[in-house]
Amino acid sequence: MMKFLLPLLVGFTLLVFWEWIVGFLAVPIFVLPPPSQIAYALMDNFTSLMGSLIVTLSITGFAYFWALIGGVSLAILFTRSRFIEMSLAPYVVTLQVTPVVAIAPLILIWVGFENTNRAMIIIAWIVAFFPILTNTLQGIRSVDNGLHQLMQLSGAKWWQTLIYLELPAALPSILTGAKISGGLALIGAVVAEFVAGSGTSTGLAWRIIEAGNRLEISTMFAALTLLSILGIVIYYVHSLVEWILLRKWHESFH
Amino acid sequence: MSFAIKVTDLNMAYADGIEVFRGFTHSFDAGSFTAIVGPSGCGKSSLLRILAGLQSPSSGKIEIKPDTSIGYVFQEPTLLAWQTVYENVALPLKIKGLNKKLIDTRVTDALALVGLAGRQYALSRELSGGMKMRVSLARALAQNPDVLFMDEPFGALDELTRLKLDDELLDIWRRQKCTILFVTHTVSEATYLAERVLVMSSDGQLKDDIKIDSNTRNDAFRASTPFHEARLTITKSLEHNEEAI
Repeated sequence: MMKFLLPLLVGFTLLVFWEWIVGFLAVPIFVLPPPSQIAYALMDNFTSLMGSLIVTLSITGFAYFWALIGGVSLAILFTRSRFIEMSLAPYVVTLQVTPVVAIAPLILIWVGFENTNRAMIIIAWIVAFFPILTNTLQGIRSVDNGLHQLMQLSGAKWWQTLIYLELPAALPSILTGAKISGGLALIGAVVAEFVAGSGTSTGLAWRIIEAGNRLEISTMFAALTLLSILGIVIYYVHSLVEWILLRKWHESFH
Repeated sequence: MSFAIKVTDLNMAYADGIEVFRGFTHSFDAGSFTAIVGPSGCGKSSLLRILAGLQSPSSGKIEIKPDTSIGYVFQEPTLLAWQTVYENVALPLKIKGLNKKLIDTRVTDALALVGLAGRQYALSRELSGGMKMRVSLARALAQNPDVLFMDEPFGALDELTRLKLDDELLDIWRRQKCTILFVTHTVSEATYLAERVLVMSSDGQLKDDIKIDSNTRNDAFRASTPFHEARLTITKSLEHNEEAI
């Protein structure tokens, strides 16, 4: 109970203090609006902000989904063939270490400005997929050698070893990777919207820029609030999935 | 008597030239219980892995009937933590593609054999060390093994649990009539369980082959002179080893 009450209390106190200090110091509304103004802005623009939320959420969701598929598949491929891993690993790392903001304009040009959504998904995907790949790899490689010998003695085919042993054993690692990737996909989506620029995107990140240009700082904060809430929800959905799938058997829950 | 496994001049060396064992020759009689003892690093576990087909030897000949089914019990219980006791025991059978009904019979029988009939829905973290080892043993038995390889299976258990499992294992062996190869570093365990005890030297050679002549294995046997004499002989053989190092 304290686990929920304490953060709520801290948040409430901060909001009250914020409301008070802005009034007390007479801070102009276009520099820092009080929470009440932000709440008004959120309610005034609720429908359009929700529309933007769905745009950002769908970019995040698609990028995350493909990161999950791509990351796990590539990890499986890497653990099946040392040859493939040696050939591809440096390029995967290159893709990861190159700042995505720097390649985003290129991706937009290549995919075409008529397909900005697709380009944005690709940008967010690049940011999101690496943690899933590395965590899945680590998970599969950490499988106990005795269990591998057991599979070998039973005459297991490679796919049987994968399904009965490696994937379930790697599940905790995969979920950790997915948790990180969920947050990163959102960041990737925001970066992509920033780069995609005017007129093409209507997601939350774009709303922040737009509101900033118009000095509607309250709306900016409202969009920012929604982004934060989205990030928090993504995080806790992952925690929930972890709890559902691992609580019975995994060390981390005991 | 016919043999279950016949090994001729088996050698094992790693790529870096380190020899694990050399010139190992022995015939394991069908239905016999053989214990293999030796100082750590003498290659007794490698020998077991090679005979079970988990590893290839550097050279040598292994004769084993082609349709021999094998069971293997590792040092650790090696259970899948996310699966129940039942699923763990059933796994090798499922991989081999047996039908559900047959799997169910085999698993139920094996669990009854090791005294875990009521625990089939438990997860491994809910079990004690001894129970986990029983599951591991049941998993090997469910495959109706002709040859059962056991690699220091009870080494990590407390003394009382081990003694109890030793007796249960003997009971199972008499009923199933399988060939057992049992690696251990406990001399009294080897003496108590086996009909023959193979002593390996620290440089990986078969040093002694000691027969234990007794048809009864119980507390009386543990207290008897033949038991102590055999144990002493094995210990001497091992000690001689240590001096050679």
